[in-house]
Amino acid sequence: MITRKPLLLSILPLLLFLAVYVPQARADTGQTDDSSISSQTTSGATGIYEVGNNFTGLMTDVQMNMNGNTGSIGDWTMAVFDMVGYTDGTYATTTGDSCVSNRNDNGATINGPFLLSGGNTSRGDGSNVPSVGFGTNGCNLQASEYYKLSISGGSTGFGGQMFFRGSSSLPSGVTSISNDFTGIAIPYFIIFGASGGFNPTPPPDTSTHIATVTPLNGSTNATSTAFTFGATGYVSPDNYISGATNVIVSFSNAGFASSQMVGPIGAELQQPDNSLTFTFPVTNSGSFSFSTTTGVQVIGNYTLKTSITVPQYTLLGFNFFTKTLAATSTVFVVATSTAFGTLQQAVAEQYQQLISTASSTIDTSVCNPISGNFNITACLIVVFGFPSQSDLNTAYNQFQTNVATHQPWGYFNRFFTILTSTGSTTLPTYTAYIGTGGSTTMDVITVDPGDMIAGAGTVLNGVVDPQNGMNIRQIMEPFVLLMVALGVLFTILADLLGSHRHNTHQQHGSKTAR
Amino acid sequence: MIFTFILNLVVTILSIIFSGLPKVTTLPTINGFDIDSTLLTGVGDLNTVFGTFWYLRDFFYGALVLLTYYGIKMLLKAVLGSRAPGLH
Repeated sequence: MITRKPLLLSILPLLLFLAVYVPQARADTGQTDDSSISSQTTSGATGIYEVGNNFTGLMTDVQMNMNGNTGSIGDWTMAVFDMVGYTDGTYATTTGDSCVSNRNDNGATINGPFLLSGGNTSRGDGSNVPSVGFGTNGCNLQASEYYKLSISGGSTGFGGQMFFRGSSSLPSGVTSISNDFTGIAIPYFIIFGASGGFNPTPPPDTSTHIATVTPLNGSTNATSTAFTFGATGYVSPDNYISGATNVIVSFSNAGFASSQMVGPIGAELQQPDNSLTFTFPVTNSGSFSFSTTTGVQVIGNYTLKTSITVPQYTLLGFNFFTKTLAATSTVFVVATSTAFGTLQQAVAEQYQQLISTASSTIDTSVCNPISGNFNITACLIVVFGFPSQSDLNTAYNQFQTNVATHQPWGYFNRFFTILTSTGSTTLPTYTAYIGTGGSTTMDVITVDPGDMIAGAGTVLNGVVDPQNGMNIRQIMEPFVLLMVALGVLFTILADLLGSHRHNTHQQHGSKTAR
Repeated sequence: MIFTFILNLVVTILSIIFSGLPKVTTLPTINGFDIDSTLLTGVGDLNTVFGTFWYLRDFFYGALVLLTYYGIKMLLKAVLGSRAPGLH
């Protein structure tokens, strides 16, 4: 007997495959893709970084020389990238051609405005020395910016010796810094500051991440009708899903219970749990920068949550569930009122009191026998009923403002306010001075707990299970909370029941009987 | 209406009594020791650590619940002595 499968059933796996993967076609970023450069820096960049370390002045000339290389090394290029905005964790644009105008490529092919030199270099005897000049010929380097020189290409890697030279800016007595990159496959790159030496800067982060948020974490602000909220960051091409990638910024008043806050009146954030959310669609992978304005008239302690999200599943063009690629939670304080904010608050407060008074008298007609609306049950409820939630809130706010914050209760109130605050600080660094044997100099060891925190944060909060999109915290915290709750519960129960204590009276009695 | 009135009356009377007293915005500094700043920094440091090591915050809250329980128990024993119910 031959069993025939329906045609649709046979091709169902193929349809599912197409439905899931085809809509996730990555959009072209239109930006320089530097991931291939940064991902290979570990193999050969250490020596190059040393140039940056020793570099003390403006680098006006960089040369790449293939000394002793007599064979063909294949095609190669030398490019200059501007790193404007690198402090945001991204480097966005390339420089103009003016920054490479001092080149000496000995006739090698120039393939583009950012391409210093390229071609098949057949000899490395010094006569063929491609070089690039910075800070000259109209190239305006900015002291606050970082620049990156990138060398790429070469099918087998450079043989012999290659060195970089700062013609007029190396430390005294140092004419060149050589590095033997024999057998090391390029590309690698050098990062330098326009104004001179700086500590090695880590390679740019081209992973999906949130670089900055506005307002800044821990910042103190005044009330405003045009408060700016925003975020910058990067969405890698691998994570980007066209038309379904969003940056979500939401903020809530986390410190409403604090006595130091002026009660929020008539705002969206009247209660601590209420939040206001902005969703910014990401139209391309790569760097993003979003901002918007809204009125924040309420003094308070705010929590700002920012996340990059994509759909968990895509089926037949429809998106299901949401997966968070990156998320941050920061705080900011709105501590002072502008004159307009104070006026607006005062007006809103009076308005709310008026509404509160009106609402408390609106039902009194049920107690009037000649009103035609008389209802004895409703009248009893109106007269003896428990205060409404709004009445309680008003009384609570008034109590907080006029009683709890004043002496002597104010000290307790302030104490609990601090204990319940959500603001974080930067942990201090620790420095130890250690004298080595027989030496008159001291070695200095500086420990920054922030590095440990950042590293742990990467593991605990940054590593995401690819199957369900949840990080370690999201997976493990329910179990940790359950364990803590059970531990606390059993400890209290054991203490109440006395089950963990030995009955000393009974033991004493049995000894006596014996 | 009556309870609301009583509530507002109590709060108003308390407000009249205490609103004339100085408002406390910071904890005092005693012998050069700034309690307010120290507490703020300490709690901020804890929040920094707890922000990453979130499970420590869970343990911390669990410990606070236990401490509260033992505090209430000590209070009851101090007030009621041996007549405190269920306490050993």
